Amino acid sequence: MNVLMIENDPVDAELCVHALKKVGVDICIKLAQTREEFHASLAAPCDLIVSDYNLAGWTGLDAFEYARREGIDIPFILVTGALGEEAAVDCMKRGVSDYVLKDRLARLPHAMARALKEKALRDEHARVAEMVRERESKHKEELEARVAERTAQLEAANRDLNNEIDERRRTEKILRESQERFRLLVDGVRDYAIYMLDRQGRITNWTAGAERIHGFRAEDILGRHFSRLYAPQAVEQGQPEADLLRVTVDARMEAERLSLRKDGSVFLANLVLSSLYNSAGGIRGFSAVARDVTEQRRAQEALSHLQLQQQLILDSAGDGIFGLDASGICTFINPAGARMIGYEPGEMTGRVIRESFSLLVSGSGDGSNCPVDAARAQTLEPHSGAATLRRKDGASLEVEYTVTPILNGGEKRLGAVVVFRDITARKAVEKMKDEFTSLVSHELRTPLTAIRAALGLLSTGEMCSQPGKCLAMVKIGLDNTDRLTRLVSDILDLERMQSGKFRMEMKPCDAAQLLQHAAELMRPAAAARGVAIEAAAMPIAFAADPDRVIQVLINLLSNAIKFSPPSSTIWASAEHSAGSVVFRVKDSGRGIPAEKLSLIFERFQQVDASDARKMGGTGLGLAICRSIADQHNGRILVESEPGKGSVFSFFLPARVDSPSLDQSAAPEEAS
Amino acid sequence: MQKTILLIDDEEAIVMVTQATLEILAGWKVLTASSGAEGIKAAAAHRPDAILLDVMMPEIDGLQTLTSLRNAAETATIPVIFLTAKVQAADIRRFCDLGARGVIAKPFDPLRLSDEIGAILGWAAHARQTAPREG
Repeated sequence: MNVLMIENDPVDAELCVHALKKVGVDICIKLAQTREEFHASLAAPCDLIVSDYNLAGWTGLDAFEYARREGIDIPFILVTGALGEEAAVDCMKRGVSDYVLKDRLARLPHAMARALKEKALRDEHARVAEMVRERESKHKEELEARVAERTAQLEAANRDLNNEIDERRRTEKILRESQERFRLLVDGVRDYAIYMLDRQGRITNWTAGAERIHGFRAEDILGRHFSRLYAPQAVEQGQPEADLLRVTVDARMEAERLSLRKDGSVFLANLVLSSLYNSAGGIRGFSAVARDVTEQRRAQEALSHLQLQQQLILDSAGDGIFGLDASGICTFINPAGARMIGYEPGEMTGRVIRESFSLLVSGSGDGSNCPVDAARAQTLEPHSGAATLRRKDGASLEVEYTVTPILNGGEKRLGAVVVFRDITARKAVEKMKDEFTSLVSHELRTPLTAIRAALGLLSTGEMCSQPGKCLAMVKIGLDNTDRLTRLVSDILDLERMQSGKFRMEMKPCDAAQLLQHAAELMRPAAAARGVAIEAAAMPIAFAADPDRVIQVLINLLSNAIKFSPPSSTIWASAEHSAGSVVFRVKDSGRGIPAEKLSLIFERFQQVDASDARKMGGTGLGLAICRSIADQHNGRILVESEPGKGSVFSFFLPARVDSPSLDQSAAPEEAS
Repeated sequence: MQKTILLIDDEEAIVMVTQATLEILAGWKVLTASSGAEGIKAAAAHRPDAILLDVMMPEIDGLQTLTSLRNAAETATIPVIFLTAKVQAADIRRFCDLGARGVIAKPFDPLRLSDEIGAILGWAAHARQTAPREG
């Protein structure tokens, strides 16, 4: 332990050292006798200062205060000869550790020990205090840091909140503006009734459009149930409740409803109801949009009716009708048209006709007369022509067609409609007529040629010297004049019969009498060819034109005579069979080839034309016979075996009171 | 030189008057046949200067007869004239396409018949040729 002793009296100093040494502690004592020594000694380490109070010119208290000023806090014990108690207490108050009277130096070690102990306690206290102070300081910093952090957080949250509030204000402003625009928009809708309902179907919102369509003002209708907008019959059927239920379940419903105006008038409305949901997903009400569709429905019905009519016309048209657009694609074809060319309508529409269906024209080859090409040509005028279309099965179809362009207002061509007609049958008829005309022409010109040439020859006088040839020419002229007369007569008869202008004169007849009469008339001709006629019949009463029946029988007998070999017999009969009178004429001539059997009743269809002419026939006899049979509702048949003969059977109705016969006879009786 | 004509027609009266016309008025020799088949044989046998051929005949008609004549070497070059009542333009074209030299319509004028035949065949206008007379 280092002790600094301040003592200017060496004796006192020695006494103190002695007292200290008694303590027995290892003490290093340094003595400072002057102020300067003291000041200097303070630089060295020191554990305790013992100072005399009364120093020459200064005091122990001065030394103490100096040390304090110098920041040295070590125990300081004053040793004094006579220090009053008051002064001693004052020193103690100032911080001196203790004081020891010089006459009681024995106390010095004790005082030293106590002072050091106090110092140790004081140091410990200071250390603890420092620790406490440090801890408090640290805690305070942490606390401040946390407070600062929290404060920053709060400030940030505050900023966010402010931003959010600003944003919300902006959004609310936009929303308000949007709602206002929407309200203006909704109120501006004039053709739709837009309104809202609560969950019970009461009207909560009513727009100008709703007022215009239903006639109710907002104050009249708000709060009322929306069934007030349904027509009474719809309300009776429970439609408002059903609609409300449906929109509740399905979230949306659309239907046409008979609706009501304020004035009581009813109109058809297209109504759309939609559910409105709150944030929790529950239904908070419904929106309703209704539109008056009366006119629209009326227009639709009119259009449908028109379309149906057009479709019916197209479907029922006998002619083929198809439409092409500007690019040649078939836009429609009617069933008749499709059927004519062998397609289903569905196969044609939507396809390019020319490429897909090869509707080409025969004859021109290059298709220049094709109705499809004509339809696609840029002409604005209708165009007609004849063409040969190719059917789906490859067969040809003769048609006449008319192409009519479809024009859009002015001169813009949208496509064309082609109407075509199957003329195959007509062509066949025309061909038949041509052939028949040719036949008639031939049949008329042949006798005329003979007559003309015979007379011409005679007129030259070149044959006067040849009376035999003259007579032959005259005979040719006469024979052919007769032939021409018969021919003209037969042609006219046939024509009149077939055109219905030749009226049968129906009378009660007896079959046996008619047969015998005809046989009698033909017996001379038969005899001339060495042929016999055997006629046998029982009396059968029936109604017919007797002259025409006899004409038929004579014709049949005449044919039989012509083709019967000499010395043969012709059998003629009349009998009643299954409600008919049947006349039969049977010969044993050369018969008719099977392939001719179906033709011999046609005009100019003799088995052998030249033979027939040689026999004086016109080629029209059997055609006339059939026509007469037809006029009597009868028929005529032939059975034949070549080389063995033929049997002609002429059937006539046996009833006397046949209505058709009476009918035929009536005009005659009237006249 | 006397011309020889073969007349093929199934109408007896036509054959008679035509034959008389050409023999008496033109002095030609006229052979006759009453059918196509008979005419083809006669043509091959007699090689006439020309053939007058009817069109509408039974069995083998005039057109088939002409084809047969054209197809047979011995008759292929004999000129054929149709004597027919079928005198429409289309018919005449068809006949000529088949090789007929011409068509004379029925009824014909007997006084002009030989001239018409001569004109068609390019025969020089002829004086009446002498022919054996009947009786």
